[in-house]
Amino acid sequence: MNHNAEDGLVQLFNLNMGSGLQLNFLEITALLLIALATLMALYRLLFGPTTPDRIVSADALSVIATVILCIIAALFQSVLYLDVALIYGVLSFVGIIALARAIEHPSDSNFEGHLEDKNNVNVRKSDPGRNSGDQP
Amino acid sequence: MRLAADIFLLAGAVFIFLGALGLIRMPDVYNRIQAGTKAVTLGAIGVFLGLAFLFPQWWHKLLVIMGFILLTNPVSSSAIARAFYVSNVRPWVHEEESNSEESSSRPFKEKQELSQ
Repeated sequence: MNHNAEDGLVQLFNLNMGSGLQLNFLEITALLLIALATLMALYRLLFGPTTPDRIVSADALSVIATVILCIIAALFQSVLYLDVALIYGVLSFVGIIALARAIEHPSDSNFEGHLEDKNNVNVRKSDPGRNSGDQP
Repeated sequence: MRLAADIFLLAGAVFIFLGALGLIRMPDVYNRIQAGTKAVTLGAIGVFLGLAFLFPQWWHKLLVIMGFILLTNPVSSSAIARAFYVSNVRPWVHEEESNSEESSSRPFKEKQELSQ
């Protein structure tokens, strides 16, 4: 019975990608959990209340995308996707660091005003006149 | 060998799922950084260990990617958290504590002076 259920799941999702790798029940559960995690991080990226939430979920999504690229390498049984995953990780790290520098030093890029005006990030009360006149 | 790979893969997937669940459920940006960094990093390490058990001929590339994520993901989210803190994104305080101004604002000012 268990064997038939596993075969049904494998044929339902059709996940062996034409290669010789037959997935069992634990691996399909792992793939479904990673898919659910991607959907939840994507929800926070799309409907996040503020811009910092979107940036944080983009940081988490870059790691999840690296993991998914390695899983794709395992599914296709091709080593090239591991190189793709490594380059994706390097570029996302450089992008996140550049974004953090742009937020941290707003005199260079005027990014902070954009962050606060568009998305209503709470400003600390101890510095008056920061964006006190901006809200209609 | 296949069973060890499946156990590591499932543990990594569970940790990635819990990290994304914390990304949904946590109330603040800083709490979401904690959930989305540490749990997802541990989950990625678990998935890479599982793939290294599943394909033992790829262990060196998986080791490079694993070490890279283990080194750079805490650095990048620490940089993000520091940038948010410097650019005046307020931390979340509990409703009972936010009513009394002294207890919530005093350690916050000390942290601010310490960071500058």
